[in-house]
Amino acid sequence: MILRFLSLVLVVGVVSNLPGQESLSQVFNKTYPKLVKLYGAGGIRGLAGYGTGVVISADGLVLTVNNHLIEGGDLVAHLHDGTRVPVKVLAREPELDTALLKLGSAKQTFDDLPFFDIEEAYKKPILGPGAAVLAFSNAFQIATREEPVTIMQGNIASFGRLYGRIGIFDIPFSGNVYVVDAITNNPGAAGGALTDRNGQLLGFVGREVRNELTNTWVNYAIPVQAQVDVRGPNGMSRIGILEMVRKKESYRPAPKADKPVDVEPYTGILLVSNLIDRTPPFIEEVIPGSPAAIAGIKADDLIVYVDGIPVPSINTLRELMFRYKAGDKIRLDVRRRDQLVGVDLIPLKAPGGSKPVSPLPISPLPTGGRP
Amino acid sequence: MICSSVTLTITFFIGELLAQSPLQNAIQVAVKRVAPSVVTIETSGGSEVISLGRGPRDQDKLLRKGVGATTGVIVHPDGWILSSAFNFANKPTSIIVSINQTKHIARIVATDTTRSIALLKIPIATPQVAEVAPISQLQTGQTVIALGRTLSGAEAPPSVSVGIISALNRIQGKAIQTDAKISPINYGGPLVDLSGRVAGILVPLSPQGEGDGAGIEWYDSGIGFSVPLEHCLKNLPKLMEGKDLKRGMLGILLKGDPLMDPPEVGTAQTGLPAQKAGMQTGDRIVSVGGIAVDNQTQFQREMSKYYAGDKVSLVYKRGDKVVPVDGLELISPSNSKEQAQLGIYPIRDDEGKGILIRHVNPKGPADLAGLASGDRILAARPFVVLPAGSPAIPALKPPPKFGRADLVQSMERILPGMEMELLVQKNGQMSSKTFKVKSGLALEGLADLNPATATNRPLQGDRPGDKKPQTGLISGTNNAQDRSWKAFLPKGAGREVHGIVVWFHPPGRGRDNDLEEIVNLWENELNRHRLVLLMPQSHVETGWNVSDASFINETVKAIQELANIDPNRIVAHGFAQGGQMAGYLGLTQKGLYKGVAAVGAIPSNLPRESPDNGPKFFLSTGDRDPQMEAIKTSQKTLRGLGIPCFLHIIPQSGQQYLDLGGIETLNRWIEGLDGL
Repeated sequence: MILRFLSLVLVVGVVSNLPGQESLSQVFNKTYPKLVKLYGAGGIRGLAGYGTGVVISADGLVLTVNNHLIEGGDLVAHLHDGTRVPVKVLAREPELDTALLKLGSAKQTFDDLPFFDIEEAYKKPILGPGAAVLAFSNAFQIATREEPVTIMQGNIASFGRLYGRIGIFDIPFSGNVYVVDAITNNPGAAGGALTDRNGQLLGFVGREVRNELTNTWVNYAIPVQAQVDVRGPNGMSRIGILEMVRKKESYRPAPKADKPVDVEPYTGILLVSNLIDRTPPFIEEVIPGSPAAIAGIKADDLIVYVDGIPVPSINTLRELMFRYKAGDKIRLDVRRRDQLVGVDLIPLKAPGGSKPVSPLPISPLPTGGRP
Repeated sequence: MICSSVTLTITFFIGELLAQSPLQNAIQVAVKRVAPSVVTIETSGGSEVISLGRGPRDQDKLLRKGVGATTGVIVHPDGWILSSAFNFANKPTSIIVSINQTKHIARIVATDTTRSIALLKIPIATPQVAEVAPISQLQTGQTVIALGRTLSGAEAPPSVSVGIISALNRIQGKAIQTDAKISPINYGGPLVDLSGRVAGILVPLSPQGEGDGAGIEWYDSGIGFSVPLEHCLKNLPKLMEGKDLKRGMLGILLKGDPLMDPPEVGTAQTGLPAQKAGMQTGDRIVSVGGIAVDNQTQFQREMSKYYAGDKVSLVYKRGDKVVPVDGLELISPSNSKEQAQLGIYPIRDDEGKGILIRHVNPKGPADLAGLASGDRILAARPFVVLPAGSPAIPALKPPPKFGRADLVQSMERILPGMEMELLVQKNGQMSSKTFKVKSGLALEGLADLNPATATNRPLQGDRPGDKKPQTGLISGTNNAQDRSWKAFLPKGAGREVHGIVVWFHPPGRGRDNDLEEIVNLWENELNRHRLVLLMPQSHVETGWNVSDASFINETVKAIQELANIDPNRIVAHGFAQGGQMAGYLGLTQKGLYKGVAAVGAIPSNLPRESPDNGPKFFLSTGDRDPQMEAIKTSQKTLRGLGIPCFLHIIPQSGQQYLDLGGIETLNRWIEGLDGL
């Protein structure tokens, strides 16, 4: 059945547009006026003094990335028709890595700018891997004044969290993102629009970020539906881009709780000497009677997963362990000769009180063994 | 049950079809179809950086290896998975494959070093085998999809990049080229067609080289490669037996321009397959395996279908005579990596013409050819046997400038057992004469060298114009890195060439008094053998980190500015974890260290292939050290790579440092490092 269906698809597959679907140039022509070129702080230390913004209302609300560009005072936008207008920053949310801007001034107001309907975009489903997408941005400041921004085509590579896998991504955003297979994240492209094949807004082109997973550059966009949970002084709260847009200048960034002093809880595991950057977390010794001994962990075990997160090295393991406190149940998968063994480890309070420890230690856990 | 789920799926597809173009739908159907055979691979341990081979200015190009998950493809129902060897280039300690959220320990069974392919085995049945797209059904221009697991993990669908086939039969016929974005995100994953069949395994490849990371610089560039799965499956039985597939060589160098000229033998290396089969300079190869080859590119492309150990049939022409050769067994490049030696030691600070011989190994190649100490080598070249009737090669003449580097360069062109022609001025004579020396392997034991003969000049004070180092124990700091070091400089280190021994102290033994203790043990030998002892101090109590490399390199440079340093006698030396650090730097800072002396330490991260320009090794272990067997295994591994390795066993001791006798032995070994 599927095979027959496939052959059908292959027959029609030659036609690039569906009946009634607009051509790419039609989509481009109706979409690029909804982007603005931004000029602001930067131009030093390799940071671009230019960027891109997405117009989301007829009176000139603009969303862009919360980067260095808007740190300084004099922010200016070039509209699609070449008009230069001053820009005011209404709100910024570091947790969403997003800033809300307003075009114009008391003397210069707008009521008929082309814009993306963000409320509409918010209701659309998330696209899966393989879906065709377009990216609009002023990458490399290649367009000025009335020149249209650049359009690129590509496909969704994946949708998911980049952050959260320890020490891997340096992105100031912890929610789900689109990764695309086109090279979209270039200087000045941050804050541009990612749309579907029909020009419907999907998200905002992100920063230039190197991906520690593979040590390559990653091309991502923050979705319109972006949401993150923030730990505040009064518990967790969930924030999203739409809320920011609705509240405009009355939006306040989510308050954050002070970070508790990191103390690694006591497990009774002594690891091998952390000789190189990627020393595998082999266990040298388990202190008798310790939580690790009770859990059945043995010397020479290799820790491979902590609560399902792969631990390629002692450094990664240490970063992870700081997340736990005494009494938490930690699922460890250890490699014992040629078997994977799962154990539940419940650490105790670290002896010697709450001595603050660096969250990114270079030195190893208590090293066992050889003089 | 199955019926209803099929209906459901179809309804879902139709729903998507209405919203998207048919191509989009075909892509998503194909991805869903192949996804179960695309697995996630996690590794732990391994080195931080991998070498990409030599750069344009002969420096080592290094790449920081990512720590993320990588991708593999199930190719056989008994737990066999193909991936890219790039994913394991950092030699991880442990490899785990996730399928349907279950995890399995995997091992690398074999690799195809010519195509960056690795075969993994897991101990379960894997019925979800990928379907192969035969090469004959692939066309340039057709849409293909590259899949990877790095971004998505095992639970979500694989990540997708869409492109077309840009070319078939690329890189000597080894690869399918695509403009889909190929990078560490999907290396090891499949390149699939719109029916979800696997055309190839995604790999970094480069027309220039075959190193672990060759081709990585092209990631995401629109030029990506995959090795046809059909080819991999054909060679699967060999890989399953644990046989690494290596480039097969005939042992010939071709003449002329690789793009323009026909495949004509320039040199048939002595003792290698082509020469043994009777081939010689001037023979023109006309076909390989029954396929005609008109130029060198075609010849290389046909040869790349074969591996070392394979038998190949050739036809060549000698003049008008057509000669067929059947069943010629190819050798692998690593069989030919051992460095040829003459068994001579030059005087280090001689300023006369050519190379003045200080010592010849008794019964060594040079001795057997009639050379002796005091002789001068004025010119050298590999000896080539010419076919009958060829014009004679002009006699060897002394070039305007000839030194150690020129001899080394000539020696690199031959294999042990092949002959060199040397123009030699015998001791005390004015005229010179050509000698033929049959080269051999490096001496395994210690050469019988008297340190006093290393130089022509007696020990004196410094002259005007010499570098004037402080002598004795000195201290230095590297302000940029906030690190400090100590060094012991013997008298005359500013004038006469000295070597450097870089001492990597064991963890916690880098205090000033610890280092003074080492100087006391070494002082006599340092003076005798003209060596500077350089002692960088580790940053942390727990010992050395890989990131200390730049501090150490800068410290070596600082000493090179202070004293007159012989680049052929720089040795990394350490005990316990310091010994591991010495081994690590010796193998990664290529060309800097000519020797590594590790005491009570197992060298880790040994290379898979013979390194060019790598250091010689001196390993020492106590006979009661629990590490002794592992250290002995390291010696075997190093020798297998063509790296000479001397093993020193300390009787009746565990993991401990050398005594005075051991230090003397080590210094004799260092004295012989600059032999040729």
